[in-house]
Amino acid sequence: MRAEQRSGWILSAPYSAFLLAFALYPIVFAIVLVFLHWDLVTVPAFAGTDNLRLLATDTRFWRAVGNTFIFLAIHIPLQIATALALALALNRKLAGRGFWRAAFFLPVVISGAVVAILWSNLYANDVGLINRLLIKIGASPVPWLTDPRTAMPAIAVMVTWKNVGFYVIIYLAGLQYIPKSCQEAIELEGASPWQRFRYLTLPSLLPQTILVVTLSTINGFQLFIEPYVMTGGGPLRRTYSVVLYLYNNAFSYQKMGYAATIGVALALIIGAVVFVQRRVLGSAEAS
Amino acid sequence: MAIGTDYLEHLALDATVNGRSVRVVSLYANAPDYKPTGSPARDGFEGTASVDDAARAAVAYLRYYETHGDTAARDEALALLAFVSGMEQGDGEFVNFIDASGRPNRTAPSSRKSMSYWAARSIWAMGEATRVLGADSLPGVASLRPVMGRALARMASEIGGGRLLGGSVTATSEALLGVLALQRAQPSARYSGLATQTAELLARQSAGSAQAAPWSGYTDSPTAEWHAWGSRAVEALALAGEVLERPDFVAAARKEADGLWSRFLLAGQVPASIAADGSVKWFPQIAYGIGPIVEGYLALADATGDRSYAVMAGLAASWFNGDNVAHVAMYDPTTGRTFDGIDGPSPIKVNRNAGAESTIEGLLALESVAADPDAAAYARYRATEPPSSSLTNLPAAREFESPAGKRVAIRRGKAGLEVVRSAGAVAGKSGPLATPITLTYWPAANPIEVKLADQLTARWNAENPDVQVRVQPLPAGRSSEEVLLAAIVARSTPDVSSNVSSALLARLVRANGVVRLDNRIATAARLQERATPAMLASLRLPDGGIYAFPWKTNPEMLMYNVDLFKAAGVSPPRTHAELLSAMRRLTRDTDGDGRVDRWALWAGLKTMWFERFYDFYPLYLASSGGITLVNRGKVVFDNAAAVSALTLLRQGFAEGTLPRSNFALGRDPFADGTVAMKIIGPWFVREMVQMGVRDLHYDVTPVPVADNADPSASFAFADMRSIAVFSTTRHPDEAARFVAYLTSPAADRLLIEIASQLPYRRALASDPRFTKSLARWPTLATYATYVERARDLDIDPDIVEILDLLSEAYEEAAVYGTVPVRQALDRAAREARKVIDAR
Amino acid sequence: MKALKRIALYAALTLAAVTFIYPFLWMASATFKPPLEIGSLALIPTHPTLDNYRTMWARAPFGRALLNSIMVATTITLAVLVLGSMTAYAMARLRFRGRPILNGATMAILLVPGQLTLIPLYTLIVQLGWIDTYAALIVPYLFNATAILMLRQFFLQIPQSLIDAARMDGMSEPRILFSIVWPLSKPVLSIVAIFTFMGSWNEVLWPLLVVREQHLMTLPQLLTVFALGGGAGSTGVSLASAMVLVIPVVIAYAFLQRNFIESMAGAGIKG
Repeated sequence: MRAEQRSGWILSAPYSAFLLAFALYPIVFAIVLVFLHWDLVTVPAFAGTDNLRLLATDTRFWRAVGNTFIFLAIHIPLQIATALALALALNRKLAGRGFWRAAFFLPVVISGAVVAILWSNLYANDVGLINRLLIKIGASPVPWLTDPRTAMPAIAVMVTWKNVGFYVIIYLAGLQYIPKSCQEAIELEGASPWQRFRYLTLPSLLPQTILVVTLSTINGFQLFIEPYVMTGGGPLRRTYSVVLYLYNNAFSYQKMGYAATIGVALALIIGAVVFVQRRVLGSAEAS
Repeated sequence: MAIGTDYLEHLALDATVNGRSVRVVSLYANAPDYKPTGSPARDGFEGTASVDDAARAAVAYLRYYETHGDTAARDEALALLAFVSGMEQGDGEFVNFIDASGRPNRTAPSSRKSMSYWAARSIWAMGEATRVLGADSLPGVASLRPVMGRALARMASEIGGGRLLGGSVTATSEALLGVLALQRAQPSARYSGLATQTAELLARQSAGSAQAAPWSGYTDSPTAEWHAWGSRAVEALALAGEVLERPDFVAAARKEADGLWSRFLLAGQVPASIAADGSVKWFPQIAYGIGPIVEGYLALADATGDRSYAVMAGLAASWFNGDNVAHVAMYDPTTGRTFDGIDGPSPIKVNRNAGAESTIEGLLALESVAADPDAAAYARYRATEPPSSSLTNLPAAREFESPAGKRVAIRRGKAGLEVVRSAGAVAGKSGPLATPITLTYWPAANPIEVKLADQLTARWNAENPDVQVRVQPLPAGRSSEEVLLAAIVARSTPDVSSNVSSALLARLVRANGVVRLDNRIATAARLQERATPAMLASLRLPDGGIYAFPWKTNPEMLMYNVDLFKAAGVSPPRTHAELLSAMRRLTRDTDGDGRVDRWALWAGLKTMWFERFYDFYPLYLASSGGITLVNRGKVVFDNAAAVSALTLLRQGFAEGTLPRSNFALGRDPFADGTVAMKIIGPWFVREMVQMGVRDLHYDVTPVPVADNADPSASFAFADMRSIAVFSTTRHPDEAARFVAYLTSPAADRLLIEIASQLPYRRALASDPRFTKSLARWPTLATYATYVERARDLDIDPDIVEILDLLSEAYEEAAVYGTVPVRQALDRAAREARKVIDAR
Repeated sequence: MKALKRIALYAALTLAAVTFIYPFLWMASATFKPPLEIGSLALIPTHPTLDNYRTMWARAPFGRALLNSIMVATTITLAVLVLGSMTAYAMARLRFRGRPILNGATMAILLVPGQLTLIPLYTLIVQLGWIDTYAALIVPYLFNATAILMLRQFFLQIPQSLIDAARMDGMSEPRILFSIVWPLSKPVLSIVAIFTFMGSWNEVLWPLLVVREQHLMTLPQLLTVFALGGGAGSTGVSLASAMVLVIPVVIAYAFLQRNFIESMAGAGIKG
């Protein structure tokens, strides 16, 4: 018993130290920073509620939050629809199923930086693959990333493209768990394929859908490298993300206190949004 | 060391010559009261003042004005020149002396009308005036022109006849310096022809050989003695080599320096004269003997790029600071006096009078020394051993020690004299070197600057075994601004970094992260050599200090595609109206598919703060009359210039002459002819070569100004990069020396040649030392004309955020036109004020 | 009818697969194209060239960055496996005071988004003087709560009898972990290894903050800095530099795709 106690402490000591230094301390310090003006190089000054008041009225911050909701409004339905469609397609007897799955999953393993660089070339006005295709079929090229109306949707499509393979796997796993008996039962009742989907498949996949929504939301709020590489937050700040704003405040403007305030606010917003989503979708699941 | 003209002014007197009131310099002033007096009885009462001294005093004042911008010095020079030109006799010849009532002395041999010493010195002074002040800018200079014309014609007839002026290499050298100054100011075949002829004549006067006295020194004739006073042939020939691009003149200059002067340095003293048979007369040793050697060495350092000459200049100049046989400081920095000479190896043998000639020569030499980092440092060294009294039986080496106890030795090497570091033991049987100091140097990370840094550092490391520098590129990209700040906090800053922008400097200073540079010998000297006071004024922080060495500036201009301009029938626009009409005519649908595929100008669509360096900000500066964005914590950009710049861009975007689209990452639409214009700096010239752009025919023109603004008063935007020494360094003086090295003329030439970027240097476009380097790239000479007419970002800690705000205004008002210009600008100004108030 | 449906299904799948794969193929082929050809849709360059790679290689230390990435990702992966197993083992199989707190804390930090701690963590690294060190890249990742929980979950299922037997033999707890438990945990270890490695390999925001010296940069960071900083100079070059990051992943993925999919999906679900 003594020995077990000691071994337990020894084995978990590094982790405990790590938690203190790299989890607890930063969390506490984040809260402290909210009340500081600090440019990292000079002595921090007490800021009172300056940062909080600034945040409350900072149109640029709220704009970024709003942008994230716009992003999510496009991204989440698109993500669910494509992931579900591909998962349903793969959930049949198929030749080379492994290949298809691997193909859809490929972008997931590629670095976001590469994807952003690749897609900014695909979206480019002049030599961009997409506009070349459009011209080829006689359509007008679209300034995807420089038109304020299309920039955020373009990024949302790209992010969907990158992550969909991941959600396909989640849905595929969910599809495995729909009991055969239920499927047979609903078929016996003479339901059309659409009815089967609407009344059996979709409700059965609700847990997966909740997961997809939650993960996409968290991902959406973490949007950084895409606008950083592709648009710098423009045009007209339509693709400015919260993390990009945080990054700029910290590293371009050297406002550590305010950047930390944004971080804390972002964490709270994510928590609140996920909580609401879970509540809404969870009640759907219960019913 | 403080160098001032106070004492020289004390010697000045008002006089009236030919009814004109002029200034003259009295010849003598004796200790202890130093009352200005005329020439004594022993000289046959030549007079009270001479052209000889007035002309040289004018040169000293002109140089002083050039470095310090002191207009009183300029006016003094002009008043002296009025006297000098008044002594010209209508045929190009001059009379030297006047008496107390202003009457010229036409009889004394040392005064009578001739083309001799005093005429030569007049030519020198008038030439320098033209170079320093410009030919037409001041009436005082313009009125010299007829006199100068006659004097040059008279000189040309002497030189054409193969005769030295006054039969003297001294006079001829001094006149040559004047002609070279004219050639630098206004290059012409007449000046270059006369200068070449004069230098060729002079170059033949070297006497003796490396083995035989007077060891290649320049003498009036093969049988004449060599005299230290006025031994300016080296300086004149070295400068001639540089200005006329004649390496053989530089070689000729080196003959006396390497052959004869190196003996002086090894001996530890400069004799008064050496007879043709080699017998040496050691005294008196006077400023007029030492000064020309100092300046000759410095001219050689410039012409050859060999900094050991600058070190030798400093060691020679140490005579003024007390490193002489009498152990008396011959220059007194508190009064500005230079004593008249040393008559023997003892303090009591010092002639403590201080006449005009000594004072002028002291000023000339010490001003030059103060502007050279090496010379300034080594002028404070002293020889460790007593001087030798023979020029034939010399020690193999001589060692010198700084006040801080650092040592350097000179010794005979394969190619003349060489400078070696020594660690106590005289080189030759050199003791173990102390462990070398290592400095870390962060240049910008782009390949070309790394290449430049590597080359410069390799050379430095070879020349400075005791101070080794390690190059470590800073990362490029968006984060480069923050890199150094993060390093400061982490106390991991390098010793030196050359990528400090103004945006960064304010923060570096606030964090006490950088070392003040204008009070360290090496950097102070380099600042003095490189920039005018006006160029430095805007870089001084509230305490008057300069904390980052202004290294390079890249003024932006409007670059245009000459072929596209020709095809569209437009000429380079000067105003917004002209620019707009040019833009409309340049925008085309070349392949007839109904879509525009050629645009006038590419203004970036991204809103990162630095993107505005290529559209809004240069357009704004062109019309703002030099007003920037923030001034001492006040937002000043909401003005008519900003409105006009944004309005122009808005119109361009609305009319479709500016593309509202992005191009693939990494592609340059100007280089491939997709847009006809681009606002860009000189570095782009090289970049295009690197991109493989070959057939593009382009030129540059100043950024157009608002229709109601004055094009001649326009400023260019230039993103200055400075070199900082960080306070974490343990070797600030060595680091400052390295900075001075990175900003030397040779390094600047390399900067231009390798990177097609421009050093922050006065009169860069007309400085003959850089003409060749500038000519290596197209348009660079044009860019160079804007070096002194540029504005940078303000040194304000929030400037990045303010530019981001302006970027938003630009986007709303110009790119997408969603908000009226005035409204967008007002909002940006309001938010900027909020940002500033919050700190 | 059925056959027709089948054909339609395969056609749709093919179209989808092309959408996912073609951009990469285009990118790969673009890196071999001279600047003028970049715009063409063709996958086979008419004038293939290695210039893009040469330029990229000459302009930035991609070889060094590759080594840095391998070094950092490997160290982190090994640490997460070894240190994480130790912790997970203690949390799963040893009773000691403080264990519930540790369990709770681990669950709790999973709920804290990274943005909250990003700035304080950065200032901590700065204060430790770790800017521009491998420590800054590695130490904050030595432990991974997701990995610990996954390992713990797996270790809980190992029969107690096995462990008791080992203890009877006098084995120390670390030995039990590494010689009894580990061999039984290969599936979970490989999952943890892959997602940790991939996470580290692709990470770009953190290196952007803490590393400024080019020779310490990881591949994705150098790539971002290179492509954005204008170091590339042309599309082909910037894509070529992206290829350096992609190729090792694609090769590994080709061989281990099942493990990849399981591990990344697993980590995502658990996280």
